[in-house]
Amino acid sequence: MRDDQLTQLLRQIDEPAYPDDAFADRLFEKLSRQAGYSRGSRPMLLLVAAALLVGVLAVGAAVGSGLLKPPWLTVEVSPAPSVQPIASLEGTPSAAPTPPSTTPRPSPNSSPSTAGIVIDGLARSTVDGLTVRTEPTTGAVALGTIDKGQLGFVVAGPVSADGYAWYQLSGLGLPANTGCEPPAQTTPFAPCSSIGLGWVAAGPPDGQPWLEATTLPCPASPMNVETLVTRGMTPLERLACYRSTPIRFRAWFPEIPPDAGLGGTCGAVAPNPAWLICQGLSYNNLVISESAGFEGAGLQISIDPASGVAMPPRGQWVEVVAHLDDPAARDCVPLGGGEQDPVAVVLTCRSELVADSVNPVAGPY
Amino acid sequence: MTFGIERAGNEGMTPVRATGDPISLEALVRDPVRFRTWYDEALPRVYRYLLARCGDEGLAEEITQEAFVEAIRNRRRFEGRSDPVTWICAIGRNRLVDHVRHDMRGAARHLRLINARTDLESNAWRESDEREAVQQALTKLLPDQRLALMLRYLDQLPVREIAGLLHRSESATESMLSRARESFRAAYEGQTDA
Repeated sequence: MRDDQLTQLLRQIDEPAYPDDAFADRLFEKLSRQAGYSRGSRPMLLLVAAALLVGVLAVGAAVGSGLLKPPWLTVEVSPAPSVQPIASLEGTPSAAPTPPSTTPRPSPNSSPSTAGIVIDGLARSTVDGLTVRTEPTTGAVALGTIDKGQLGFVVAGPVSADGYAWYQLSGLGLPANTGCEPPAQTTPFAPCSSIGLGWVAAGPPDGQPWLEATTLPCPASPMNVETLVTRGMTPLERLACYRSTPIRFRAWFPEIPPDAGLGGTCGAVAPNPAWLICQGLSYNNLVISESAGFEGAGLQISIDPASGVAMPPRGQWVEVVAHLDDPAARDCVPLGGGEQDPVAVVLTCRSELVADSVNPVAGPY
Repeated sequence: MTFGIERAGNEGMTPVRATGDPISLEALVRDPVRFRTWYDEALPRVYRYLLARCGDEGLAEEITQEAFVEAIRNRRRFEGRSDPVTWICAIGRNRLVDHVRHDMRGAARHLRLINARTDLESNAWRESDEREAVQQALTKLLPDQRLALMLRYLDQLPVREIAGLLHRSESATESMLSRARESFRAAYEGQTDA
């Protein structure tokens, strides 16, 4: 059965369907209550919330820019006020429901910046409710927030705009660029399996920084692959740890079971570099033990055809020397048919392990 | 940005509005009459999307409710760049993935019940059309296999994205998809050959 035949067959069950009337009515009643149709208390609540907001602004709390949104300020207010940033030098903050009228002009690598934050390093929020935006400006769309302690992989920055130093962060609590879990897990963002991107202000020029550089414990070579995968390290954390420094580890190279049913394609047009973008089709899974199985916990490695590296026979322990951040990763481009962010695609490729050597060994460390 | 699911969610569905004008969910909610009209059109679309992907009416209703409640609760964050229904379908899809991923044991148990019920109630399936044969074949798949198959072949999501959703490696996802294809093919052809 070809793929297009399967698609045609499955489309047949995507037919009009109607839920039970009683269910439909119950749900509508629930939504109506949520919308506040049945009583008049909501406007008063909104007034109280708005008054609270204005009061906070009046005492000059450093939360009025819209960049810092403690949970008590994210009380749902209709319409949601959009406040002028304190650092914009626009004068008295107001609760006018319009974004700043001036267009910020980001100037790369200009001050202010936050000491210690480096590209390809990790940054951590020091506050709750730190807003993540699509662009480095307070006028950009807010994607959500991150809370104190949440990490980001620093992709770019600092960019100076609106009185703040901005950094582009990815992963580690940030959303996928496709909106990983809209919108339930954006305040704060829950970690997503995909690589997401967003811009975060590092804090006011003269105040407490909202972002700070941080590091994670990086297991040292040599090690077993279990160390790399069972400590909860994400691909971007590994990239921040090791960058292009070779890692030496041992792992089990499993047999492919007869019913694994491997197959698939990598886009309609072979991407470049296919060996890195489509490494999932090479089946170079390395797992933590003999009993883990072909689909068990472990890592995949990519092999550059030009490197001359070859995998040994399956069903044995191997010692791998591999690196992240292969130069070819910079050439990775989105596959056709999707709407992937090119920056995220390059990051994904950079976080893939590329083998320098793979040799049989007697067993794990 | 759009979801792969949004494209699929629109397939074969009548748009709530024929134009590409953005719809403000907040504005809809402020007008009870318009909201009811919209709801009556939107509910079957979301339910249909989820039912096709999980095959369980009860679960489809449960997740439909969660998705609508979540959407209305967060309606001010909806920017109106797409049809609200596709947004709600996306929320529902993520809820469904969570359900399948975190409740495989319960889902498998539920699947067995569905299979048993379907076997009892479907004496007439041989006389029915191809669509029912497809539905019957899908009941033979595990919940995660069915969902992966739907995401791949109905929603046309890339394997990498499905792997991310299901928290599996790409090769494991390819492997699961292959088993799902084979199971579906065997079940479907077994019925249509009979």
